[in-house]
Amino acid sequence: MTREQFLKDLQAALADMQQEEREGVLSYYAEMIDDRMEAGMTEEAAVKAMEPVQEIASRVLEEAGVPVSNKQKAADDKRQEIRRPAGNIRQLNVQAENKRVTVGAGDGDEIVMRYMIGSNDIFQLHEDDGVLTLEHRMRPVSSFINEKNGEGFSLESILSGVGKFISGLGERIVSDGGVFGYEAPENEIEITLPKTMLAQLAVSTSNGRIAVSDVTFAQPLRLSTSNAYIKLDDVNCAQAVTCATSNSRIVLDDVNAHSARLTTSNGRVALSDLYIREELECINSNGSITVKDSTAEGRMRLTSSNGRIELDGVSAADYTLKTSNGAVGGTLKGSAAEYTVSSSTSNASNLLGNREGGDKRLSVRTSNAPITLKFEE
Amino acid sequence: MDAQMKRGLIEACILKLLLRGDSYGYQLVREAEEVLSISESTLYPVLRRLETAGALKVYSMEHNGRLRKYYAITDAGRKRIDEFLVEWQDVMKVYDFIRRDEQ
Repeated sequence: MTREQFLKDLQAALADMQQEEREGVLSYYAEMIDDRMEAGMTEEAAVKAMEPVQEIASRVLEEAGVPVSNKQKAADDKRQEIRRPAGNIRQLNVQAENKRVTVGAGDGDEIVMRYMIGSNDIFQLHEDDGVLTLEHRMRPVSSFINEKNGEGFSLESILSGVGKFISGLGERIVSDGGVFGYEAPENEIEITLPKTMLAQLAVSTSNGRIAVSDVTFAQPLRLSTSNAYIKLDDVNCAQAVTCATSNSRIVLDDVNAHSARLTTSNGRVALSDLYIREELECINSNGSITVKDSTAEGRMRLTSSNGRIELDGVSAADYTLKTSNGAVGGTLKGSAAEYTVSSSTSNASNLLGNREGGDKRLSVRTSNAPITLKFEE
Repeated sequence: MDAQMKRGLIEACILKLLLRGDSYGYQLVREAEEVLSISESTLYPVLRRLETAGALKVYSMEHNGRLRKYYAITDAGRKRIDEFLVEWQDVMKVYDFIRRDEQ
């Protein structure tokens, strides 16, 4: 290591210190290296004669009374921050297991990813030809035990490994329900993007929710998880938005996109203030779909089973609303005369009926539940 | 060695070295090796503490086109050496006592 690099690293390691103090330390070590070189050592050897930067830093910080608890230090070691100029990236992929992913906008023109490396986490970063991929997976329990065996067998170490795994499972279940309100930050990947993101973003995780807010995407946005919700708030996308989860809800508010395809099961879908230039497609089995104050210029295809479909102040040129054992109700914008209407249910009332002659199309199918959809000018 | 005890010993050693004349960091590290080995990172906080306590003074002087920091002992520093010697008479009594018991 060169003298310059050593001093630079030391300066960075002492960032928490007051400037005057820090400069005192730096000039002290610079002088030590200079004196050694003057005594005939090479630069390399003189730097090597110093202790490692991190050791010097922790000792100096401790002496200076800058509070650095071991716990904090350990957390700092595990905290990762990846920064890239957004202009260098054309595609960002985040592939994780059991992590929540939060995407938001920053003031700069940078892509920033922050996360903590827990004892069961394996992170890998790939960068190739403008494609940046952050890959995360969980260390399998079996390999954790094997590693511990390598260091010497201990029942406690295995139990603590298994315990961590089980408590991880607990958090997964909690993270979706949100009832307990406890979500450890170490289970989160935080992504900050420029307000206008020119690169494509694809996030896939599992057992952790995905939240995206305040970003305009020029390229398609693809989000997928499982057993946890997906939430979009104040998002624009010039192309298609795709959200897929299971056993949880999808919530979109104030979203403007070319098209949107939303898929879940056993959760509700709640959409409000949407503007979709072409097609909105939503599939939710065993869960309700509610759409409020939203427009799809082209088709709106909402499909559920065993869930109700509720529309309020919605407009589209071509509706296909399909469920079973669930009611279809609410208000559509425009006049019935514009639409060719085809509707049917069984074992329940249908207030919508059928009519021919409109340029636009409305098709509603359910069973064992009423259709109470109305037009409101 | 107990950290607190070692700290006291190093402080006294450095002051003793400065009794011989003003010195600078690298020279102090080398000369201290006569009696105990200390690293740069050990010396730095010792110098800072002694300076804060007024036991030594720091001044910069040009050397080969750069500034080097020199350390000079003060009266307070000299007094501190005397105190150290007095305190350690007690320690030596204990030391002798322990040695006697062993033999």
